[in-house]
Amino acid sequence: MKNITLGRYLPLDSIIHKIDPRAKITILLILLIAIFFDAGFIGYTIIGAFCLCIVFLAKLKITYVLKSLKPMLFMLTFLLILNVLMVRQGEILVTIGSFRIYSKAIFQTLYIVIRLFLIICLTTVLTASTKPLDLTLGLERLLSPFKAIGFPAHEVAMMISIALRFIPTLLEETERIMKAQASRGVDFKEGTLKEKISAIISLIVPLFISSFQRAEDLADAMEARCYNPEAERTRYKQLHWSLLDTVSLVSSVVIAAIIVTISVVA
Amino acid sequence: MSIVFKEVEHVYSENTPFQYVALRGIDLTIEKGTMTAIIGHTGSGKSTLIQHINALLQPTKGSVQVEDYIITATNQPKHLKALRKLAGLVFQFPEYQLFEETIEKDIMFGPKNFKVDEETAKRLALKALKDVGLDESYLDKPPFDLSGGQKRRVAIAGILVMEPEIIILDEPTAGLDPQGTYEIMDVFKKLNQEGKTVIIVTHDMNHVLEYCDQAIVMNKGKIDKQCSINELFEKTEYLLDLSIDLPIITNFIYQLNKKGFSIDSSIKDIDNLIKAIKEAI
Repeated sequence: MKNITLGRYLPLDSIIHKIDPRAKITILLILLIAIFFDAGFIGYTIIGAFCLCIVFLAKLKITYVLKSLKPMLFMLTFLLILNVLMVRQGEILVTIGSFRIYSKAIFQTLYIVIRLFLIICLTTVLTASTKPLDLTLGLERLLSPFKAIGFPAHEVAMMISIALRFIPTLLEETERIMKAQASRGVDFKEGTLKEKISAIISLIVPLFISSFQRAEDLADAMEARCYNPEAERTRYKQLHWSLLDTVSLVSSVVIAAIIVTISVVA
Repeated sequence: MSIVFKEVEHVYSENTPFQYVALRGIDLTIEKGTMTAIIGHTGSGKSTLIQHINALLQPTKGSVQVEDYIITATNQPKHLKALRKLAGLVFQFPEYQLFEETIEKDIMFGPKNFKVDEETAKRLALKALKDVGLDESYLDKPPFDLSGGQKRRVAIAGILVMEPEIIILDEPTAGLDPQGTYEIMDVFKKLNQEGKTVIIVTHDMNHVLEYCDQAIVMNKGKIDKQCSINELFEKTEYLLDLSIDLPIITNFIYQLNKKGFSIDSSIKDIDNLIKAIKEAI
């Protein structure tokens, strides 16, 4: 459990860490859109290289990012099997009895893997290089234009920041309960289906109870401090847009534009 | 020979930016049938240490031996369940591990995992419940209706029901009222007198003095001292240096002796203390 890397902030000193959270969120959105454009082999090479550059600039180890891909392994195998069975385009590569594996099936699966990998890369960089509080602040600022049409920007930002804040806490809690139940003879790894279900129940019920308890406590604590989402708030920390932010935003827009052009032309 | 640690080291999140060495160079033997206190500051590695005893954690270096089970960085015994039954671990604030509809079912959860039949499990559950000072009227109640202290007792019963030979407790009395604290400690003392090995992590030196035979002092992931209780509280200066509070009685004697008395500092109860003071006057 301790090895889950998704969503954790890493206090490193890198150029990516210094970029304004507003810029980072916008860049993430732009790049995510670019990733979903099917720009073929060249397109994925370009955007893949760009993403790896970002990971490198953020001083993250690639193994660290790969680790967060581990939980997806099951889904990827599932996708692979599904694709191989369903897609019947392109050349026939292998024929096993009445089974035929088509080239397009392999390519599509590969693209899905690359897409997922890049998405996880980028989101890991975002959460690893931005403090949760900055992330919320950036999000709130980005959403604030929508306040005019009645969108509760502050509330949404607050909810997201609370959710992010509690990811590590819940992981810790999960580990604690797993250990406590393991001490009572639960085996989370092996056993029949019935045993596995009982093991999961012994984990989920206490986890739910403590989450609700926590939520209640947090709400009480916020109320005790007279939290009012509609109140006019000032910030101790102000966001400043710098040259670095402009440069990084422009470069990612350029990359995205190239990808979109390639996919449209092709 | 019951529990043996040999040069045990434990590193959390090895090879990540969160790498943290929790234990280093732990050599330790805990004899069968003793009641041992593990003391030390928050973050000194106490909880990490005890989780090695029932193999919830594996050492990153060195080996841990519990009876016939040997756990090293690469070798985990195949029958972990049997080890977990042999060494029961009660975590800090164990009440969060309750999850069944009734107290009886919750206590029976452990034995059922160890394939004990329904009848025996029920019998064991009732015995464990009585051991922690609750009566059979609680059996059919949902555990979530209880008070904090009662939940704690039920959770402890959930471990005792497996009849472990080694009972490990991580601050079992934290957050309990004084009355409940002594009742719970009496339960553990009784189990110890029945021949079980009891290991308690605690911050309350009064309990250490009153209930335990020996103490292990941990500091910064290392064992600073392992000695008998009498020996421990004779080293007043040493304990104050580590900013560990003295038990009330020991502190009283310490203060008296500072004022010129010479009272035996190994006295553990009020009656003997009064006698000693009378003699001194």
